[in-house]
Amino acid sequence: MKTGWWKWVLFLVLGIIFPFIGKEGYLTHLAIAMLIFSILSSSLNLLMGYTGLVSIAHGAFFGIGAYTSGILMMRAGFPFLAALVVATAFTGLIALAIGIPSFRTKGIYYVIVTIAFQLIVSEIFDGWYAMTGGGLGLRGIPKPGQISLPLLGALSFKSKVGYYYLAFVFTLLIHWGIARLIKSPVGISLMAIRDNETKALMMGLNPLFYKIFVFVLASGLAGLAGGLYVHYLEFAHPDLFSFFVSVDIFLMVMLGGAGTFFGPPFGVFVLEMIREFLHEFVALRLFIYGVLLVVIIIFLPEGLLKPLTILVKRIVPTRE
Amino acid sequence: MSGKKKFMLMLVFFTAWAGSFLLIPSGDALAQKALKIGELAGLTGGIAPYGTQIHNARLFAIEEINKKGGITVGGAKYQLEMVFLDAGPPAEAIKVFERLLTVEKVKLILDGAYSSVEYALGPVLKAKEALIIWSGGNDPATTVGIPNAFRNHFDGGAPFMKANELFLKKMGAKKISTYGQSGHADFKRFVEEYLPKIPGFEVLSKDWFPFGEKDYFPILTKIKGLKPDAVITHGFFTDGVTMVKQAREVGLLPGILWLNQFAAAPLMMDEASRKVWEGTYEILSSSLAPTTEAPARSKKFLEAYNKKFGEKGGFGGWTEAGYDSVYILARALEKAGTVDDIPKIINALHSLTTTEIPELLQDYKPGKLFDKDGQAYPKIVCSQWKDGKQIPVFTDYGL
Amino acid sequence: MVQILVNGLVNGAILALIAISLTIIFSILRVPHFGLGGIFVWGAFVAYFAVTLWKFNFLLAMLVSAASMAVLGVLIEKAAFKRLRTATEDAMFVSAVGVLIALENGALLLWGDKTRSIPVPQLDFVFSIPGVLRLPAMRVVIFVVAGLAIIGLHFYVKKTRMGKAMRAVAQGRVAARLLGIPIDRVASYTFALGSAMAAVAGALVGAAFTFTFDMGSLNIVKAFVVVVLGGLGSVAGAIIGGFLLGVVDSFTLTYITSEYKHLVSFSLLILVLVLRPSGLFGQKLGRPQ
Repeated sequence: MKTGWWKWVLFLVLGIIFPFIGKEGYLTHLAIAMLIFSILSSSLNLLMGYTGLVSIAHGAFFGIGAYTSGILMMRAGFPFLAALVVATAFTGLIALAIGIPSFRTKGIYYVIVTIAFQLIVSEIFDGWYAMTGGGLGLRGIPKPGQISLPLLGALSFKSKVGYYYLAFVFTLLIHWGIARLIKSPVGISLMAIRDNETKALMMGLNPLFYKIFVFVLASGLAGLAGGLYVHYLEFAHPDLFSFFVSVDIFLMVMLGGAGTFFGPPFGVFVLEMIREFLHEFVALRLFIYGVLLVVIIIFLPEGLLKPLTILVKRIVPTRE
Repeated sequence: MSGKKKFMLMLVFFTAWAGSFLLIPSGDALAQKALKIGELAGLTGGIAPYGTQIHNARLFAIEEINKKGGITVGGAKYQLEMVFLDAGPPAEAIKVFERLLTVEKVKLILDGAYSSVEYALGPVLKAKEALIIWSGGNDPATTVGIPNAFRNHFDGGAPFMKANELFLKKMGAKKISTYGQSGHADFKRFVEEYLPKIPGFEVLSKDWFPFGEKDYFPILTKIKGLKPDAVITHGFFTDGVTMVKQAREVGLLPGILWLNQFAAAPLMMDEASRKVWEGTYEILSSSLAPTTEAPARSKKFLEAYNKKFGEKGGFGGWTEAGYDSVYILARALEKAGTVDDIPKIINALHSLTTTEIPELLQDYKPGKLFDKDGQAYPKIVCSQWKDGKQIPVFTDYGL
Repeated sequence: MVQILVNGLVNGAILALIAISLTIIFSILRVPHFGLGGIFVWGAFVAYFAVTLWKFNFLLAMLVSAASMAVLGVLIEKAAFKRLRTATEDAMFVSAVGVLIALENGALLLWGDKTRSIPVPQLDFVFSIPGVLRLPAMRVVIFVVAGLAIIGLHFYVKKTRMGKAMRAVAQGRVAARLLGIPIDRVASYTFALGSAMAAVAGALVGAAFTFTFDMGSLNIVKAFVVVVLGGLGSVAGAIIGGFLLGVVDSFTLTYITSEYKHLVSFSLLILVLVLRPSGLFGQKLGRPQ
C-alpha cells in the first residue's frame, strides 16, 4: 500500500511509545478502550462502509462475545486465549443463525431487523440472572495470566501497560487482516454488492453468500472485542452492550468516515475526544453532544478523516 | 461548500479541539491547604433524582464544615473541596473513577449512583490506593471482600429484606404479587430466592417492567384477577408514579396493601404526583427527614437544604445519607491524623462509633458504625402516604 | 380478555400516531427522523404548561402544542436536514440522533427531571362495564383524537395541492423537481405535519399517563419498528402495524411473560419481515437516487 503508508507508521510508532506517556494512568485506560472500540468500528465498517449493510446490532455481538469469554474463564476454567477463541466462534455462530433469515430484507427493513435483534439480546442479558448476573453484572472476570517471551521476559497482563500491549497487538493484527481482505477479490466483491446488487448478481457473484460471510466475520470480531474488553474491566454488565452502544459504534464509523479504512478508528478517537471535552460541562454535556453531532454531520457528512487528510496534505505536501 | 471554506472550518475545529486539552485539569492542588474529595455523582439518567439529592447534601455538608473552619488533621487545618464528575452507568463510572484517581489525583471518594457501579468498581478499587464510601445503591453485599469500600446506605440484601418481611407480617399479608423493574437484580433476588422461602407467604405472581414503561394496565389487570393481599413494587419512582396511577384506574387500588420500593418522597415530585400515592407505603428509605415525624435536627436540615437548593433540590429519603457520608469521612480523617495514609484511615473508619459523630442525621444501629465488611446499618423506615405527605408506620434495623 | 385487547388498542393508537409522523417524513423526504422522539417530549411539555400556567383547556392546549411543534419542526428541518438532502440516509440518521439527544436534554435542562402528568379534571372519570372493561376516559380520547388526526391527514394528502405535491415528491424527487414542485416548501410542510402529529401524541400520553424528558428515545424506536412492520410509505400500514404491535404486546405481557416481552414481540416482528420483506403493506424498496 503506497498511499497512506505514513498512517500505518504513525499508528505503529505512537502505539508502541504510548505507554511511556500514559503509564498506569487514565490515559492508558482510555487508550485500551479506544483500541477495543477501533476493532468494533472497523468491523462495523466492513459491514456498513464496504458492503452497504447498516447494522445496529453490533453492541449485542460485542456483549455475546464478552459474556461468553468471561463466563468460560470464570466458571469453566478456560485459559484466556481459549476462552477468547471459543467466544469469537460462538458469536459468529449466532451471527450465522440470525444472518441467514435476515438477508431476505433489504435497506431500512434490514436495519430494523438488526435493531430488533439487539433489543432481544439486551433483554436476555438483563433477564438471564443465573448466567449473566442481570442488572448487577458479572463481577470477578479474571485477567489473563502471564506470558513468558524469550526476549522480553515475563509480560504480565494484570497491569494496565501489559494489557495495553495485548490490546494493541490484537488491534494491529485485526486491522492488518481487514486491510488485506479489502484489497482481495472478496473485498472487491463486497464493494460491488454495495454499489449495485443487481449488477453484481449479473456479473456472476452470489450476493447472499458474501453478505452472510461478512456479517459473520464482522460480528465475530465484535465478539472478540467483547472478550478483550471484559477481561480488562474484570466486569460485565448489560449497559455496556446496549442499543445505545450500538448507536455509538455507528456514530464512530460515521464521524470518521464510512467506507474508508482509517476513518472508523479515527471516529473512535473523535468521539472519545468529544466526550472528554464535554466532561467539563457537567449538566449541559449531553445537550451539547446532541448539537455537536448535528453540526459535525451537516458540514462533514462524509466524516472527519477525509477533510483532515486534505488539511494535512496542505501543510505537508506529499507526493501522490 | 467551497474547498476553502471547508478548510477554514476544519482549521477552526481542530484548533478548538486541540485547545480543549488545556481544559483537562492538571490535578495540582492550589497552594492553600485544601483537601480534595472526589465524588462519582449520579446526575444524569434514570438515577438522577436519587444521585442529585445525595450530591447536594454533600455540598451542603462540606460548606457547613468549611464555614466552621474546616477539619483539623494531624495538627493542620484543611478546607474541604469536592471534585465531582458525573458517573452514570457502569462503563462511564469506571472511566470517571480512573480519571479521578489519576488526573485529579484524589484518593478519597464518595459515591451515590447505581449499585451495579458499586459492583463494577469493586475489583478495580481493591487494587488501588484509595477508598470509597457509598451512599446509595441497594444491591446486597457490595462492600464484602473489598477492604477499602464502605457503605453508609443500608444494605439492600438481608437487612432490607428482613425489614420488608417484618412489615408484611405485621400487616397480616399472606398472598403476595410483585411487579418490579427488570434488571434490578436486588429485587429479583428478593422475589425469587428470599420471599418464597418465608413460611406464611405465598407468592402469587412475579412480573417485570422495563425502565420507562408507560403502560402497566396489562399486568395490573392480571394481578387484580389473582386477588393478592399485598403488592410489592420496585424500580425508579418516575415509573412508579405512572404505575400507581394506573393501578387506581384499573381498580386494583385502593383495597390492598401496596408496598413500594421506589425511594419516593414528597419533595421529589410535583403536587399532582404526590396525590397519586395516597394510601400506599414506601419502604426504600432510611431517613425520617421527609416524613411528618422528622426529628428536630432533620427538620432543620430539610429547611436549610430547601433554602439553598430550592425546588430542584428534590429532597428525599437518601439525602441524609449523603450528608452523613461527609461527616463520617471527616471524623475518620481527624481520628486517623492523616489525609494520605489510606490503611490508617480505613482503620479509623472501622473504629468509629455512632456517638463519635454527633452530626449524623440518620439513625444507625448503636455501637460501631461499620461492620467488618464496611457496611453500616441505618434504620429502615416504612411510611404511608397520606394527603401528599409521608407518615412513618414502621422502622427496623433489619438485623 | 376484552380489557386486554382494548389496552393494546389504546397503546397501539399512540404508536400509530408517532409511526404516521415518521412514515410521512421518511417516505417523502427519506429522513429517518429519530428527532421526532424529542418533539414528542416537547409536545407533552408545551401542553402541560398551556394547561397549568395559561389555564387553557386540554383541547386548546393540544392545538397550541401542535402548532408550536410544527414551527419547531420546520426550523429543525432547515437547521439539521436541509443540507443533507443529497447525503446518505446514514448521515441523516446521525443528524436525527443528534436532534433527539439535544431536544431531550434540552428539556431536562429547562424543566428538570420530575415526572409530571397533565391534569385534565373534566376527563377524570372511568368508563366501566363491570367484569368486562375498565377504561379511563382519557384513553378513549386517545382513540378519538388519533382517529380524527388520521382522517384529517388522509383528506389533506388526497385533496389539497400540497398533499398532492407531497405524494409526487415521495414517488420521485427528481421528477417532482422537474415538474416545478418546490422541494423546500414541501419539506417544510412535511416536517410541520409530522411534528404536529408527534406533538399531539406527546400531549395525549402526558395526559393519559405521565411524561418525563427521556420518554422519547424508547418510543421512537418502537415507532420505527411499527413503520417498518407496516411497510414504508404506507400510512395504512403504520396504523395497522401500530395497533398490531400494541395488541401483541398486551397479550404477551398478560399471558406469556413480562420479563421477556421484547423477545416475544420482536421475534414475531423478525418473522413477519422474513416472510414479507417489505412489511405488511410496503412497496418494494429501490435505491433512492
